[in-house]
Amino acid sequence: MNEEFFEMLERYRDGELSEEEVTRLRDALKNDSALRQDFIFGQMIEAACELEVPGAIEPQIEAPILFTKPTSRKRFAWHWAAAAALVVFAIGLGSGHGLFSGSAGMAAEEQEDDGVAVLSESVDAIWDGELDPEVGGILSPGNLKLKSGLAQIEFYSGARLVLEGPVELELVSPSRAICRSGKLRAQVPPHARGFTVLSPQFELVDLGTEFGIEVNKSGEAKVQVFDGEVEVYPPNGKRSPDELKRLLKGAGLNFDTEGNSAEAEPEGGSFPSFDDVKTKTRAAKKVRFENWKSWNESLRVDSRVVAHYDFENSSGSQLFDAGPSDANGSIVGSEWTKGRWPEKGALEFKRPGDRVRLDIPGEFENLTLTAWIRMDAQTGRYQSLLLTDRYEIGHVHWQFSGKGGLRFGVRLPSGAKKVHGSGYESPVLFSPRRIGTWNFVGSVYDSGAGEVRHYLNGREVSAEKMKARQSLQIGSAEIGNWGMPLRPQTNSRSIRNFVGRIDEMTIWNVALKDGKIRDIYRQTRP
Amino acid sequence: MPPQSPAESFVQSLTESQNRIYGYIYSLIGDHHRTSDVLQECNLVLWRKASEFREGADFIPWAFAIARFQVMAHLRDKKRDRLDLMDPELAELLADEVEGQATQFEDLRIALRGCIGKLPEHSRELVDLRYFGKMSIQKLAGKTEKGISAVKVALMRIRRGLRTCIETEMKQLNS
Repeated sequence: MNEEFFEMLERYRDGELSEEEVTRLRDALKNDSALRQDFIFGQMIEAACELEVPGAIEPQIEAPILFTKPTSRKRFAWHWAAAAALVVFAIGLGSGHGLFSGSAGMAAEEQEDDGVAVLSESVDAIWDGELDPEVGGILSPGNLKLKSGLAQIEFYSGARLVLEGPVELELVSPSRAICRSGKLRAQVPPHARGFTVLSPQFELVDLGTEFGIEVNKSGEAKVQVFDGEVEVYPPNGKRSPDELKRLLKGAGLNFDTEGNSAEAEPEGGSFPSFDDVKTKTRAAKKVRFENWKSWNESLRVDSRVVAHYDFENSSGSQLFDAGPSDANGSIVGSEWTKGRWPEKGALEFKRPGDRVRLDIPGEFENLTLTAWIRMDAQTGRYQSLLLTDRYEIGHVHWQFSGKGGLRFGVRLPSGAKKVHGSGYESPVLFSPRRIGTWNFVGSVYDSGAGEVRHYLNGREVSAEKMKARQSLQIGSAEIGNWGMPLRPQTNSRSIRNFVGRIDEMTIWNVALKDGKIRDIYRQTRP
Repeated sequence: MPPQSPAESFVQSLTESQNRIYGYIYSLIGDHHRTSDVLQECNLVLWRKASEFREGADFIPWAFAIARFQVMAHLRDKKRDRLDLMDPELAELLADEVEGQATQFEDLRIALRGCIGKLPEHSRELVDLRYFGKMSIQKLAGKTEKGISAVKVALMRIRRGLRTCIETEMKQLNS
C-alpha cells in the first residue's frame, strides 16, 4: 500500500496529526476508494487488537489470574475470560432481565469465578510469577511456584496444604492438585475424602487424614502418613486395584528415580507443619506492624506529605492528620474498627451517609494518592476514596468505577482538545475475588512525565498519557463519600459511598515513582 | 440435542456476532470506549427488535444494518472534533466496504494471533506493552532504554509487517 498514507495513518492513530493533516487525510479518503479499502483493513486490525485486551467487550469479568503461565499463554488468557463472559451475557439475556440497560448492570446478575482454593496464610513467601498471590485471595487452577517461605492453602473441598518453598504445585480442582516438586503437608478432613495429589512418581488418594509428601526434581519422592489412611497408585491415572498400596498412620514410602517404591522409616519433623505457619505468621505480622509504625513515624516530618491519615488514635470523631500539617478530618457516621493488623485502627464505611470531611488547601502540579483499603462489596456504581465536594476545574475525584477500575478524575476546562471524559481509569482491579482483602492502591498524577499511573499492591497497573495539563486542587473534600449538596436547588447527590474499610490514606505533593511506591507497599503491607 | 427455541437461537446469534459487530462499529468510529458505548446501544436495539427478526434469516446483515444506523446517529450527535478523522460523510462512504470486511472479522482475529505469535520475542513484547498494555511511547522508550524515535520506527515496522502477514494469512484461511 501507499507508504506515505500508511505512515500518516499510523501517526493519526498515535494522535500526532495536526488539524490540517487530519483534514487532508479525510479528504484523501473521501476521494479514493482504494485508500478507503486499505484504511478499513487497518481499522479492522486495530479493532482486533482492542479485543485482545483482557475484558475488552465485557469488562465485568476479569481474566483468570494465572500466576506462572508463560507470558505467551497468558496474553491469550483473556480469550477464556471472554468466552466465560459471553456465557454470562447469554444467561443474562435468557433470564429476560433488562440487562442491557447500562454497562454496569450487564453481568451483575450472575458472576462466575473459577477459583478452587484460598491462600490463607503465607510467611516470608517469595513467589515466582508475575502476580504474587495475596493472603486471603482466591486461587484459580494453574501453577503456583513458591520459591521460598511457607504458604498455607485451603481448597474449597476443605483440604488444607502447607507448602514449604521451593514448591511447584498445580491447582487443578477443589479436590485435586499436582505436585511437580517440593515438600508439603496435607490435612484432609473426612468430608474432603478423595482429595488427590498427583506427582511424577505416584497418585495419592486421601481417605481423610494427614500426610506429607516430598518430590525431588531428581525424580525421588517420599510419602509419609501421619494420621488416617491414604491410597497410593502409580501415576498412570488407572487407579488399578492390583497396583494399589494402602498406607496407614505412621507408614511411609520412598520412591527412587526409577519409580520403584520401598517402605520408609517413619519421620515427621522434616515436613512443614500447620502450627509452624501459625506461629510464624503471628511473629511476622508483629514485625511488620512494628515496621509500619516506624515508617509511619517518618512521615511526620516528610515535606512531601500534604496529609497523612494513619487511622490511629482510633476513638472519637476526629481523623488525625499524622503528617507535618494539621489537616484533621471530621468523621461522620463511620465507626472505628480493626485495620490490616488487629492492633491497628480503621474506619468502617457501610451506610450511604458514612464519610470523613476534610479541607486540604493548596494547588498541586503533581499529586500522589495512596491508601490501604478493604472493599467489602462490589456495588456496580462508583465508590469514593477521595472526592472533592464540587467538580470544578482542577478538582480531583479519586474513586473506583462501577466496573472495579481505579479512577483518577480531574476536571479540565472545556475546550481542552481531544478530551473524551476527564478521568484516567485503570483496568478492572476489584473483581469479586478481591472483596474482603486488604489492598494498597495508589494513583500518581505525574506532570513531568505527562501521564497518570495507577498502582495496586506496589505494581503499576496502568499508565495513561495526560489529556491536558492542569494543576490540581482538593479543598473541601471527603474520604469514602461524595460531598454535600452545595446548590440548594439540587440537594440530592449520586450515591457514591465506599463500602468497606480504610485504614490509611496519604496525599503527597510529588509524583512518586514506581520504585518508591513499591517501597511503600513493602514497608506497610500486613 | 433438543431444538432451540427462537429466543435461544436469537441469543446465540447475538452472542456469536458480538465481535463482528464490534469490528464493524470500531472501523467507523476508531475509539474503543465510544465503540463499546455504541455496541451497547446497538445490542439494546437488536434486543428490542428481536421480534422483527425472521428466524432462519441471516443475522449478520441485519445486525450490521442496525449498527450502521447507530454509528451514523452517534457521529451526527457527537460534538465536532477537528482532530477526529471520522465524519458522517466519510462513514457513509466507508460503510459498504466495512460490512464486507467485518464479515471476515473472526478470520482476521485468528490471523492476527497467528502473526503476533510469529513475531520475534522483543517485537512481541513491544506490541504487548504498546497495544495491549496501553503504554505511552514515551514510557516505552524509557523502559526499553531506546530513544522515542527509535521506538516509533520499530513500532511502525512491526505494524507494517503484521499487516502484510495478516493479509497473507487471511488469503490462506479463505483459500
